[in-house]
Amino acid sequence: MCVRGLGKRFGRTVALDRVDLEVRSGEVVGFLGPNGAGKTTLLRVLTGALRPTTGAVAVLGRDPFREVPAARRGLGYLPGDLRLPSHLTARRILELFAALRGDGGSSDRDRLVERLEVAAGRPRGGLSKGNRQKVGVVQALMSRPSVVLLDEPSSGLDPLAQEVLEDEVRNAAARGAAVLLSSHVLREVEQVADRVVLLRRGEVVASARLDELRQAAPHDVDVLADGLDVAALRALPGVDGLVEQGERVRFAVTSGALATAVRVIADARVEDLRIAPADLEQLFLHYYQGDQR
Amino acid sequence: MRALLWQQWRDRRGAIAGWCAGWAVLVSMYVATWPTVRSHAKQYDDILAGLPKAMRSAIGAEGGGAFSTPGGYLTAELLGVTGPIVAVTMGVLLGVTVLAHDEDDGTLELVLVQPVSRTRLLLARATAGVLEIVGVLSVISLLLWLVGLAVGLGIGLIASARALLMLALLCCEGLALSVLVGALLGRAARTRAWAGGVGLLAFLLAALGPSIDGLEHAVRVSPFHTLVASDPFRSTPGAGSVAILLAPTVVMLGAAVLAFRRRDLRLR
Repeated sequence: MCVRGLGKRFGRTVALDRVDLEVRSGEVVGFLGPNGAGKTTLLRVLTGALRPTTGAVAVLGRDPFREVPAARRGLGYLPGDLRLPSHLTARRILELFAALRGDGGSSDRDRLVERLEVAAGRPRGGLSKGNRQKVGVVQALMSRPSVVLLDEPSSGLDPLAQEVLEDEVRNAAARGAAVLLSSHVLREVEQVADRVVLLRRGEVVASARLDELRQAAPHDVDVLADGLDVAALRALPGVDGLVEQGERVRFAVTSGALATAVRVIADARVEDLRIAPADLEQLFLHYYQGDQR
Repeated sequence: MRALLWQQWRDRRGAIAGWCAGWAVLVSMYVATWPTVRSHAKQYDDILAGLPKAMRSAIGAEGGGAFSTPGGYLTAELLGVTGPIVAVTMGVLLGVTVLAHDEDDGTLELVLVQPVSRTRLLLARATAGVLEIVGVLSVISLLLWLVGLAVGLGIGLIASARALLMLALLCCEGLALSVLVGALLGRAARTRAWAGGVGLLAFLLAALGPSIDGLEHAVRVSPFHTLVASDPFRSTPGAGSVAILLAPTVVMLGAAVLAFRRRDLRLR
């Protein structure tokens, strides 16, 4: 799927602004951003539910808004706010969607129902949030789609079901599907995504492999040392948030300044030293903390 | 698509049965009271004669003697007042379920991710609604004939079917109006309110139009007036009358398709 210069406005509100994004076959892209960043809007544009204000969108080479049946034949989608048809059992809902797709997705449907332990005979009204979400996951993946869009897929799922979901996402990518996964569960994105796209106020602020993003983000340093030249450390460009507690010093340092900082530390009598690369949560905070203030 | 339509019918079984029961009670009540009306036809016709011509015209009784014949009586009572109101209400409520209801509760989002175009979905669901209307009113025309046989009404099955089919066409207009409003607004409550309001306004204009200067001729192309003026219990409606009842449905459904294809889904 491919998005070029995508803009979406709701009246005066700019939901998406000049977004470029490409997800290739066999790739899982984690889609991150704080609430209101435009993640769900982008997914809805990709499904054809919303019409782009500017720019071009292609799913399987087709415009999802204009060339509907062709663009959606290979699309699997799990909405963030999942609403299922009323009065139907989970099994009937899945049969209905399979019939609408006109495909022979029954084998994957049964397999997924079994793996996720969906309460298939229970009417929608009798399903817990987690079970409804499982039905949503099954309908999104059962027809072996070539493009998979998942909006907060693990919402309401228990840890066992989350593990199955991650496994199924990897399976989908392994058989060649392009997967775009929007999630607030950063561990989940870390587990399955090859690449991460960070969205802020409707704009893509970063798009890179996780290890590349980590390189660009500050490392956390925690050092216990006697005779440490704290003033020299503080003066180093790239060192931030330095906190001194007796002989223990904590600070964040960019990859570029890390070697210099280590040389300063090495001049002291070091009793304990820990250097941790940023995890996804820290990356998230690094990019978005300014928005929360 | 067939699966979706079967599901729609299965979901609406209760509502369809309810509409059947409601129409059955209404029609049976009118037919069952015919013997009483017939025996007091002179008094009823005298009361009608005292009404302004415009009001008599609205219920198809401008020539006088409406209550002396079963056709005139049923036209005045069933096609003149109650029938059109119930038909338009039924059409509007069924029309809300074509798009607006599912769009409002969010289930349409997942349906439209399937390889189904919006045009196809709208037309298939509207067709299902039209078939429901025709089905319900066909059953009711049979009932009218049977109850009529029991009370000596003297209305044949063909005449009964003709009249109820004309009423079904009016009901389809209510459905198409509601589908159009739903295609524009995408919200169930607003669709019910606007479509119901427009339907009621059209009925009032048709009823009061003959009394208002400048509207007396415009009323002649009103579906409500056409329903009564075509006198389907006593004669076969002309092609012009059928066209007046059918054309707005076709135009409104066409407009609904255009509106629905071009806009964003209203999502929460």
